[in-house]
Amino acid sequence: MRSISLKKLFLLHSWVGIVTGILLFIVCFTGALAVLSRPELKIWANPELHQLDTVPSEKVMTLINHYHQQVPKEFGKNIHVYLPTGHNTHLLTILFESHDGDENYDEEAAYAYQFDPRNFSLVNQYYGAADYFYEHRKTDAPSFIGHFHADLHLGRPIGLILTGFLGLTLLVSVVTGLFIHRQIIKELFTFRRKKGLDVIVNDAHKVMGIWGSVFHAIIGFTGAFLGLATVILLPAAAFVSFGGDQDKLVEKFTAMPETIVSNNYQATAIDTILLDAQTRYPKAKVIDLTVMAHNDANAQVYLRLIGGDAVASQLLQYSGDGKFSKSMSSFGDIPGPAIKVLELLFPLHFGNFAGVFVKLVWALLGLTTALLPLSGIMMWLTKRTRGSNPTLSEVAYQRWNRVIIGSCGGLVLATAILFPLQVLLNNFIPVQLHNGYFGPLFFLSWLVWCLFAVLPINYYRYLQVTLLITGGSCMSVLPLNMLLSSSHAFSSNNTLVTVVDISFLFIGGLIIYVSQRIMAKRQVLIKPTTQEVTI
Amino acid sequence: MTVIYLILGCGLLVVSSLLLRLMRPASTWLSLVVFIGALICFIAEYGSIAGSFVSIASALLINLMVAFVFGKSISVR
Repeated sequence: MRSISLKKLFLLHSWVGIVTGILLFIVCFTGALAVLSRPELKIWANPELHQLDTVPSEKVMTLINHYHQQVPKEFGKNIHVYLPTGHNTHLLTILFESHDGDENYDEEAAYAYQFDPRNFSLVNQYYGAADYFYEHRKTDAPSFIGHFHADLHLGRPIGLILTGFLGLTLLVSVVTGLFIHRQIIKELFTFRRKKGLDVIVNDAHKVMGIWGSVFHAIIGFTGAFLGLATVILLPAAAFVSFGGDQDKLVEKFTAMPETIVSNNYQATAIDTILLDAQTRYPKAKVIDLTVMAHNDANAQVYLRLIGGDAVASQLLQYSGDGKFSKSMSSFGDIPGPAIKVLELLFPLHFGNFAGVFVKLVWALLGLTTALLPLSGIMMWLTKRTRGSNPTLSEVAYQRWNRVIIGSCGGLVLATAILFPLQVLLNNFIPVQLHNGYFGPLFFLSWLVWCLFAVLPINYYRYLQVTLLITGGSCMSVLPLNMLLSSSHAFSSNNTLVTVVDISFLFIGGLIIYVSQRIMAKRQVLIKPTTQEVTI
Repeated sequence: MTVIYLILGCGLLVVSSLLLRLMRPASTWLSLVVFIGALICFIAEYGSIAGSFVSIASALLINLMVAFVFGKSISVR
């Protein structure tokens, strides 16, 4: 009975892996990179952020006061300020929002002003639908990858549902995998790297699966939650408790309720508030602030902080005169342990709760999550070509390998190309046109590389070329930056830029080295056969 | 101070992993003790909740690296 159950679990593990493996690799690989996208890679990608320390609080207040006078009265009720920290926009953005729109717009409308954080000159201004502004913000290579990870650029809700379900399948694979590999203790350190590629892949799959199981399970669960929360869980909760009225539910749990304007003037002390927040939480970073009923006696200011001693992001509430009210979670001031668990899901998925060290750990473990389905598929294919009665012919085996290299290797290649492209765009193309380049180049290069899989080429050679181009793209970032940009590894006074530039060179070199090793191993495997034939 | 705590924590995790790799009862217990030492380092730096998460995740990664680099220990008897 027990062996029958295990057999069923093995079948479930195999088929879940085979059906979703390639998609899972796509989501996990981009997720591993997305961990470092904000703020580290975003700062690297935007020269405006290279020399930035903190924006002076009095400057922020002056700009808000100045531009508040230029917008209609109803737009002063909600002001959002996005600080140029690399978490949101690359420019200091002040957005005056009217939830009810105005004479031109029935939906939420906004006046937005964007400033270069180096000299506070006005770079861009916008008037129109608020949603349109958010959807068409300037993107860059790291943000593009981050958004691709979230919804595969399929839009919402389809993309979110898909990534959410992939999180669930990852969870199923981890649980079934642990059950079927019962000899966990024996296989904890079993990795025979001097054996053939099949054995290496087999051992790597087990070692990564066992050691990473806790991480994979957490990422699967939190990913499923993040993907499905807004599209399935929120409507479900609204259906159960609010008669299907989602707006009512959001209103109930919103951390920033609408403020009633008293029409009594009182200057909102934004500079005092920003300084107080920095004094209270010196290790944390203020990423944005929301001002409700600006310069009114009832004004409320909310600051979103990330980092510091708190694991999850926190929201600070101040009254307009600069008096600190309370610190709460981003879900609002809701008591109970459930909300504490809920707010932990975000930092556990993003790995953004304790600095760069944790992000690196998350990125590396995320790469193992990506490699797990890939190694699983390779094992499944190899198993079917072996034995006295193989179910997969040699030609079919090669074809499947090419499909994997084309789809998964093609994704890695397309992603790697985005970084030298970012350097070229920064130096040759006006900023407002950047958004039009990332999507076409990424999807086109990926598609072209997938189409190569149709050709009857040697899949080892195909893999080698994929790795060579990927490595070459990464290695080209530093020389391109040195050649074209005034702010690169050896000229900018920003350690982050130096580390990222040199890391690209190192990673590119490592990828090329791995490609050479794989080919060398292949030669060793081929040689004895050739000799036998010669003899 | 952050760098010192991180280096010390990671060093202890490597030692803990190498001890665990020996697969002997005594070394396994010793490995746990060393891991607790690393846990203290991370908690001192990041606080109790974040420190626990960091030490567990780092331990997983370092054990994985040790498996990839050293492989299984072979007892010489």
